[in-house]
Parts: sequence; C-alpha cells; structure tokens
Amino acid sequence: MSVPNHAPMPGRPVPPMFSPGRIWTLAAATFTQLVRMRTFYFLLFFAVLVFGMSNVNLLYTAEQQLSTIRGTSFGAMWLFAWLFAVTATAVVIPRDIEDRTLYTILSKPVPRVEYLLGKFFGVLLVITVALGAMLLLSGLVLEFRKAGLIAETRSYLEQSPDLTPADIQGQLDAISSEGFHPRLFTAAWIILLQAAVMAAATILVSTFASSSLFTIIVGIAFFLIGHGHRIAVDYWSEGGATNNWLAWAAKVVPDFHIFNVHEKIVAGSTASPLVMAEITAYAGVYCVVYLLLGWYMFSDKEF
Amino acid sequence: MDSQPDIPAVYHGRPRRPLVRKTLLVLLVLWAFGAVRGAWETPLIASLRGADLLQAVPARETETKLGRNSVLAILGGMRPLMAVYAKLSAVDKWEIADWDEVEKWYGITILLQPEDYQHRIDLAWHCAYNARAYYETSQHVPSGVDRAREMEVWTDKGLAYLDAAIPEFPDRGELLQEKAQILERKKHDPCAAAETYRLALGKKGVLGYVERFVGYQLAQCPGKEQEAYTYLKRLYDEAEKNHLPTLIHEVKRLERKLQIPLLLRIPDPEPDQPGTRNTVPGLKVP
Repeated sequence: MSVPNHAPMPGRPVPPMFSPGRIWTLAAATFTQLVRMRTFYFLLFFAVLVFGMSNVNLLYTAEQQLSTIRGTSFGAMWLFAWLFAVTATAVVIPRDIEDRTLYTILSKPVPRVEYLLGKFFGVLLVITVALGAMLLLSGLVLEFRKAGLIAETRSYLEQSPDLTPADIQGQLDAISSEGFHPRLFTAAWIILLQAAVMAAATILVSTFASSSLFTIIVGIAFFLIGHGHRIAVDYWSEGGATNNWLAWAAKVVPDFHIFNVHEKIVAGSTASPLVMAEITAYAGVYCVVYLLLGWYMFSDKEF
Repeated sequence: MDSQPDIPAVYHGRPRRPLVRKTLLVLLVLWAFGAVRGAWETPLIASLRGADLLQAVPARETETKLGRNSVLAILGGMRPLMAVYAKLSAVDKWEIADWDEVEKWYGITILLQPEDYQHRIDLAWHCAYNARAYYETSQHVPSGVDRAREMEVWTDKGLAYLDAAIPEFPDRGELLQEKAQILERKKHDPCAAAETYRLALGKKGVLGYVERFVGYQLAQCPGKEQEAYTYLKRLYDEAEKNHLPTLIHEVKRLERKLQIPLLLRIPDPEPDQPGTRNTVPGLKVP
C-alpha cells in the first residue's frame, strides 16, 4: 500500500510541518555537493585575474591602478555570482534525480518546499563563501598595492620643491581613498542579492524544465533580458514609438538594472542604509515570489 | 498473494494539473506581479538615479556605437573588464600612431567608464600632445597631408574633449588644469590659459603651484601686466616658499616693464635660469 509523504507512522511523533533544521541540513548537503563539483576552482581564475590586473599599467595614474583592480575584481565577482547561481541551481535538482537522492529525501517527511529552500540556500551558501573569499583576496591585493603606490608616489613627490606638504598629502590621500573601503561590503551584498534572485528564478525554471541545459539557457536568457529590457523599452519608446508590446512582455522578467547600483558603489558612491534596505526588500520579494511559484510547480511533480 | 492496490485517480487528495496549464498560470502570476511591481520599481529607480547610484539609460548614440548586444553588457558588472580591454586596444593603436583608432578606443573606454574623468584627460593628452607631435615631427606622415592643419585639428580635438568633460565633473580641477596646459603650451594663448588656471583653483585635485601658474600666464597676456604684477607680488609677499626662480624672474621683468620705483622692487637677484620650473620626472605637471 502506498504511503503518502506526510502520513505519520503509527506510534511515532508527528514531525513539524516546517523545520529550519531540515532546511539547513539540505542546504549543507547541497553545499557539500557543489563543493565536490570543484566549483571553488573559479577562485584560482579570480586570483590570477586580480594579481594580473594589479601589475597592468596602461599609463594609469596611481588612483586609476587601484580603481582598475577594484573594478575588475568586482566585475569578476559579479560574473561568477550570477552565472554560478544559474548553472549550479540548474544542476542540483537533476543531479539529485540522477543520484536517486531525491527519492530518498522525498520519501521521508520532508515537505517539498523545504527541499526547494534547502537547495536554494545551499547554492546561496556557496556563492556567499566564494564572494567572501574573493572580497578578502581583492581587499588584500588592493591594500598591498596601495601601500606600494603611496610609497612610490611619496618618494617622487618629495623631490619636487614646487609641492607643499599639503599638496603631497592631498595626492597621497587621493590614492588612499581608492583602496579598500567598507562600502565595498555593500557592493558585494548587492551582487549576492542579484545572485539570489537569479537562483530563485532558476529554481522556478528547473521545476518544469526537462533538462539542465534548457534551464541554463533559459536562466541566462532571463538574466540578459532582465538586464537589458529597460534599455530596449526606453530605446524603442523614444520619440513616442508605440512598441509597447515589449514593455508588456518585460513585465514577466525582473529588472536587474536596479542591481547595477553596485557599480557606482565600487566606483566610489555610498548607498544609504535606506537604499540598501529597499534593494534588499526588492530582491527578497522576487525570491519569495519565484520560490512560491517554484513550489507550486514542484508540489505534485512526479519523478 | 494480495492484489495490487488501485492507483488512485487523485494524488494526495488533489487532482493532477496538466503541466501546460500550470506553466501558463505561473506566467500569468509573473505578469501580474510585473504589473504591480511597477508602482514600486519606478520610484525606486528614480531615487537611485537621483542619488547618483544608478546610471541613466544610454541614449541612441551609445547603441549606434556599440550595438545593442554590447549595450546589454555595458550595464553589467563587466564594464571595468571591457574598459581595460578597450584601453589596451587604445594603447596598442597608440604604438602604431593610428590616432583615429586611439580616439575610437578611448571613446569606448569613456563610454564604459564615464565616471572616470582620467580617461578624458588621457584622451585629450593623446590628441593635443601625441597626435600633434606625430604630425609635427614624424617622417611617416604621407606627403600630401597638411601637417600644420592636422596639428591644429588634433589640438582642438583635445580641447573639445576637455570642454565636453568639464561640465560633467564640475568639482574636478584636473580637467581644467589639463585644458590650461594645452592652451599654454600648444595654443600659446596665455590669456585663456590664465583664466582656465584661475577656474581650476580651489577645485579637487589641483595642487598649490597652479596658483602661481595663473600669475605666470597673466604675465604673458598682453594688457594684463599690471594685474599680473599685483598678483605675483602678492604671492611673493605671502610666503618665502613662493620665492621661486620663475616667480622672481616674472616679477622682476614686470617691475622693469611697469617701471616700478626701485625702492618698491624685490631685492632678489635675477635667477640664473629664468623661466625654468622645478619639475619631477614622471609627474605629468609642467
């Protein structure tokens, strides 16, 4: 006789309907699963890129050298985060089916929503650890390079009798301000939020997709459209054009343009706590909507 | 042996829903969410742009230059990486003195990193100094080319790039300083150079010597001798650190020209090398 998933066994305590502990267990297992796929090898590429950029000098001023290291580091972090969110999320559920882990999990009193949340948070955990490592590495390179540039600049500025101590200090302060700054944590947080939205959207796609490849392609297309539809809508509606079908269709896709705030923060702007809270809430709402829809699709899916 | 139980027509008490119907329902919900979210999204974007945290959507010109697909990438976090590539290409073209290409690649670099004013300075410097010098001295310039005209064209281009950038960075003095230097050294227009140096004073990134440069250029500007003398004499009287060869030379020259009474003249002897400024190798200042 078949036993429904959530039917309690006679004589055993009824498991809780929703358990953060179970979600954490699933997230930790997903983390291990992804780490075993050697996903952190990307960090090697990142390290080579950051060290390489710290030695590139295209007639850069000292400030430009530091801002280039910062910009490329965060560019690589941004690329890793969203691309990993799509690809990792696209493979975790099919991998569970392939390994038959999914059947073992779902035959236990684990609600499907917890399974999805476990996968979602597992992917986010990997991205968080990787972003943290990349942030640390870029911070170290930035500070190391900054120290070198300040020493070099000081030595040659001090040779000039034209420059006052205030002038020299001003130049050194300008270089110093281009080094690592706590505001970069907020930029990394926004990158993480964007990755979270992408992971949630990819989970939604993977609940009805027939293959990982399809999920990855749709996920990447989703990201590109989400990134560019505002430009496209604004472009085509310039001068009162009536191609409103695009604006209509764009409603299905989130506006990732908002997350570009991280670029300005990396460049030197500071986002207020209110702005950060608003962007976090924006991403949170998207994640909740996508995960709820994913749950709806996954709730009675047969394997 | 027990017979197999019948497979129930319902699963967990719920009827099976066809995948297509469910997918359409999901799309409908997403669309409805998209319609609702506009009320939140539009003011959020406006406030982010107002706080200078979000770049405005590029205009048609951008699309023409790079193509729509590139525009998508521009708005992503890959911009700094693409800018490095564009700048590498510009440097590569500089090595072969292909100035149109240098200009093009710097244009793309600026497009990708519009917030970095230093790219504007670099482009202006390439145009007004390097390209100009190429047309002035290179043996590779084709014989039919009007060298003098090209020199002026490229100098004017350098100035034009700075003129376009200055309103975008009203608090940065480096752009004005660069413009003043081009006016001084390449256009030989001390009056305009003095005025531009003066505009740079007090702005970010402007070093103390620019204050003296205003006076030096005023001293060369016909009809401004008295103003220049007053200005430079004030600097001379202000601090011992200002008693530099060029300043002393200019003050003494103006004293003679304006026939300042001997008793009011500065006591310093004429410097050995008048007109020489102290410079630091590698520092892009005169």
